[in-house]
Amino acid sequence: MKSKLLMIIKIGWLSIWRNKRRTLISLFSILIGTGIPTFFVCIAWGFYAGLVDDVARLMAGHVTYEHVNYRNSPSNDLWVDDIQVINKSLNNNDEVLLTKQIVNLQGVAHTAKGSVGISLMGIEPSKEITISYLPESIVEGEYLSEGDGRWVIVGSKLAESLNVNVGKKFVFTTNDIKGELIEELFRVKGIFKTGSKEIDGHFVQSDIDIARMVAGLSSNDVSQLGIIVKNPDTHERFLQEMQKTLAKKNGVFLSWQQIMPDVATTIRMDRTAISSIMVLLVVIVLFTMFSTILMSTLERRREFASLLAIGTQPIELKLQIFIETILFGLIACPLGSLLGVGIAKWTEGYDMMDVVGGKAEDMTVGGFGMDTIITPLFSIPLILQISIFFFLAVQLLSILPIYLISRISITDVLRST
Amino acid sequence: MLDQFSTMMRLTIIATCVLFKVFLSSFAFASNLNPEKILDSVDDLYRSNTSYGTLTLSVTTTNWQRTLTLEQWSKGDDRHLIRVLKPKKEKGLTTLRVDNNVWNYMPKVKRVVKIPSSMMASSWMGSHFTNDDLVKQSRMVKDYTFSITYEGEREEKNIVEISCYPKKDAAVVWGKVEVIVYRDDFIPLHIIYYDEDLQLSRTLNFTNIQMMSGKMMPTQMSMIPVDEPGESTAIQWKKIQFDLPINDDFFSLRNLQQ
Repeated sequence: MKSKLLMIIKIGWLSIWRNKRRTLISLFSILIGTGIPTFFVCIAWGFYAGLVDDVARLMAGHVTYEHVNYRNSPSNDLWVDDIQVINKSLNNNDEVLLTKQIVNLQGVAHTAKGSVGISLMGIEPSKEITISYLPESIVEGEYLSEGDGRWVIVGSKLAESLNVNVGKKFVFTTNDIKGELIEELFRVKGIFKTGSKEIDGHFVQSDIDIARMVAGLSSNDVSQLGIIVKNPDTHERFLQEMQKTLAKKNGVFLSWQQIMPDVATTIRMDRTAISSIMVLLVVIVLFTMFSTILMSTLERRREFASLLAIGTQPIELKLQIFIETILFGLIACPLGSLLGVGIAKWTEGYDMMDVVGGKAEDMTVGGFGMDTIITPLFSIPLILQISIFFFLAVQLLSILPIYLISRISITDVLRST
Repeated sequence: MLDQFSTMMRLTIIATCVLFKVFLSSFAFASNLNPEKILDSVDDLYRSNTSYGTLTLSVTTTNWQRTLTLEQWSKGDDRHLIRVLKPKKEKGLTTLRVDNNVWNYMPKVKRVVKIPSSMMASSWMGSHFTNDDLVKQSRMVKDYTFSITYEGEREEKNIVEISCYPKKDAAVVWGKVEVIVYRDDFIPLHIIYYDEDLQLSRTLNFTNIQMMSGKMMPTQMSMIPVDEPGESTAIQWKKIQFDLPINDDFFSLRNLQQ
């Protein structure tokens, strides 16, 4: 039985190389079919991963700890108990890269030119330099350092709207934790440009101490504790664990998807759109593959009829065709994956705007600017999934040719030529 | 010897003249006027223990113009109630300010809305004043360093000009404010606001000085922004009474809705 199977495999192998052109066409269609989706997925998923990481590092981390009611009403008087104990515990966790203490204040920035609604984020500058891309986005002046007091960094569009530049002042109006209206003077230390209209137009960063002072918080209180994890892919599991072990009664651990639903929804929609296009592409490619497999089978009808006439069992013929498609899949699918990965690797570092045209600042997701430099994500499970999908699809495509061969009429076929 | 004496005398006279000149230029505007008192009088122009009055607010923009008739009550620096009397469409629209908080009552929907900090920059009643202008309780003497920079005749008026520069950490958007008042009674003529680059930003003009409730005061104020040519907001006081008995309870959310 085993030797018979080996013989059929050998016949199948020899058979596919008898007509090299036909075989190469079939292999090429499977290879392209596997390669194109692999390429697109590597590029698109790379953009999403980069975006999520950038946004998480800029805002409140991959996982955020905050007051249980803060999401519904981000008020300054909602902070959590024992934040420093939780912070210390998180910093001792192997899965945590870094934590960032944040004080968020919503209010209005005024100058003689006018007023703009802003979001002021008080952060620890020394940590922010190591995790966020904002310090690298400074185009004028300098980034913050510890103890900067009233010095802040503002976005380029905000600076334009308020008509301020480095060294100039603006007045910030907000509510403190008692709900009282507070006005404070700030001075511009640096101006950043990220390409995002929202961030550049309405975002301000200051040292956390001055933000606490403005809000009326004590030196241990924060609005949010952002957690940057080493492996963002496992943040959901990490979140569940922390919620069980660390969270206080009035605190909750949330994922970046819950903190930034706009970004999560946009990515989900974008992924759905890309997947839909992929499905269309896959249908077209599978149809081409089906045609080549069917043709390569049907043009050998006389050969199969002869084999059946000399006593070959129909099941052996069916098995041979099935093995031929398995061999096609085994050769072309891994090569297709390699092709997709290779092209994606080749495009790494290119600016996408050079290819698609337009302005980098127009590339925003949920109000956050995207890095337009291509940085593919080579996720082995994802690449394997695509490859296995196409391998199985090819096997399914061989069902009809096998069925047609099983219905072959030996006499009709042999007489017809 | 005589020559030496005469040279010394000449030098002494020159030195005295130079010193006198320096002294004169340094104290060119020195007088017995107290700038702090002048600024306080400008700040307290329409303030008293209590006040009640009616006024019109005329807003002119490049696209539209409208006039509101308002009724206002105040107590101290921190309690104000302003109610729209005309036009009919907006009658009953009321703004209450207590300390740093501002509420608006909208009679059409019978709702009271507290103005959050994010709305402080929004225009008040569509004028060139913002909600923030309403809640500001700052006094110039507290937020600025100041000095008299001119005293004398200008445009046939005997005036005093006080230049105010914001203190280092004062929450003030201006780079400089010039307060120009009549020398005799300190009634303001103009308050001129400059930005941080000392570029003219807006001018508040005071005109039509009349005796009201036993007090001489300009009954018309007009705010003219520089960066919006052709636009202005004018306030015309029709009636004002000071030191009427008004309870603190009057400035309540309950009264806001009446």
